[in-house]
Amino acid sequence: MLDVRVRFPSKEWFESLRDLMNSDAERYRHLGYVDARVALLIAADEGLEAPAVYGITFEAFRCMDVRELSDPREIDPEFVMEAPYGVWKEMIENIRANGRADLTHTLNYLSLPNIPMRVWSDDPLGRDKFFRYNQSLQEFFDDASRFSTEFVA
Amino acid sequence: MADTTFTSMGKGPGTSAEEWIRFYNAADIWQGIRRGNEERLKRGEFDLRWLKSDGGVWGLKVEPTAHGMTFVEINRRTHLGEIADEAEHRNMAPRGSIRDPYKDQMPEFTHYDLTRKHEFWSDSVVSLYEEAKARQWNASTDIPWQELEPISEDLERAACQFATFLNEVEFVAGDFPSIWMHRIPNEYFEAKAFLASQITDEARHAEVFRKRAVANGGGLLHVGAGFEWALKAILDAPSHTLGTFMLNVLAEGLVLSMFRAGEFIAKTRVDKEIFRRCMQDEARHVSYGTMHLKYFLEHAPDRAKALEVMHGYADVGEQVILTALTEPLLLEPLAVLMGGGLKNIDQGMDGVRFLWATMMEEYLQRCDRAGFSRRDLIKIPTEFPY
Repeated sequence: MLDVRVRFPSKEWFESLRDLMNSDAERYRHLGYVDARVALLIAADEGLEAPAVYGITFEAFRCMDVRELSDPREIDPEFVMEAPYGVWKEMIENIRANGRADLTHTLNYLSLPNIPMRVWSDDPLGRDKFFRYNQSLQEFFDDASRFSTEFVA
Repeated sequence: MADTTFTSMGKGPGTSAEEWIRFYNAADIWQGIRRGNEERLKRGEFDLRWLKSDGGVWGLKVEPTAHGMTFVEINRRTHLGEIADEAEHRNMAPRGSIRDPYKDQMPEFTHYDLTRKHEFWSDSVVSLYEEAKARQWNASTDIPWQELEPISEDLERAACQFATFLNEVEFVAGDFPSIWMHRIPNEYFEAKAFLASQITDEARHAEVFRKRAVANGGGLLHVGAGFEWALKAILDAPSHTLGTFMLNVLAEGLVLSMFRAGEFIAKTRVDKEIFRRCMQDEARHVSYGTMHLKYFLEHAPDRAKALEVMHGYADVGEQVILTALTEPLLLEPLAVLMGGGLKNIDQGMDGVRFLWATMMEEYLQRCDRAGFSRRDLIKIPTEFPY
């Protein structure tokens, strides 16, 4: 558990996940490659006045890049994960409380019905990467249990 | 009277041991090679022709990338990436080796009859093979079986029936590539290797659902004749591409959505992990199928004819798959799991309706991506009609 408190949403919050992934090479090597550009859209809701968008690039066993975007398509993402701020907040709080997402807060659980989270892509093969790398993506977000998150609202 | 001691392979020089013995006794090339080798050894001479790389490539060093020493990199940086559209060598001589001087002495592997690249290739097959190796998991040790919790009997029975269905259907995606893999010449080793990885993946899927059925005190339940007809139709496919379409694009695409639903409706963390990991493997197979179909259609000598045959095949294939999809042995346990119990099966059917529409839309999107639009032709209702 890291003794830090990081604001969500922010570039620093996703960088914290990046650093945790990159410091745990053995676990991610066991899970296998992740080669994907992913955009995350946190839609305005419940105190978040404007949408926040981030781009994350995974290569092999590492998270290579985190950046703030003005539009999800800026990094030509293979897929976009989009949900209102309140959904992201609840998911992160759930991960923090349980050490990992419980049965009703996994990425697939939240996104299968397209609500409250939507995973979309201009290319069905790009969207399929969300499925191909799902275990790694889940563990990437589950690492949010290892530091405190301060929410903007 | 027919000899029933052995089942014949049905390919190669003979269909019986006697024919095999007759063929190899009569084929004198290999005996000549052996005699030459033995005489050289008796003379105490060395051959040393392997020290020369005439006709080959030598001296190009390849560094590993973050992914390791992959075929992707090897093929990009060396002559090993030069892949012919049609295999000239119907034997196991590796692509890129010095093989022309030996051509006249080589046997012809009669079962290597899928010699045209467009019948099995996909532009993604090399990277998918590397990904498949990197993302292997072990059904015995990577699933937290010790955390399996008791659930109500109706939910356990539904979970076990769903597991029985998956145990029954999953290895068709192992048997199908195995029928065709040995017919692809070594020229296209990466495609063969990917198919081998798919066979391994599917063995693991059949294994994990077989184990899940009994692990929580339940058991394997009912098999379905509707499933078996769909499986037989896949295995009976008249060509690799047609079968790959029906298996990897249609059937596995639907099962991929079912794995997503399985993760969604899972009542234990164990079930969630099982479905999530299977989902990853299945998505690779779907990706190969989609990209192979695209490659096939882009490189078929007569695209119009290829499309006509593909559509005719899909017209029937979709209906056979519909037979499996409408089996109560599949729909009802899904509805019970989605509804949260037998008493909520009607509400659970709402979830099945949503899943059905999702499956069909994703199938149509993948067909579009491959350049094989089924939007106006699909024989499966795109909305759950019952």
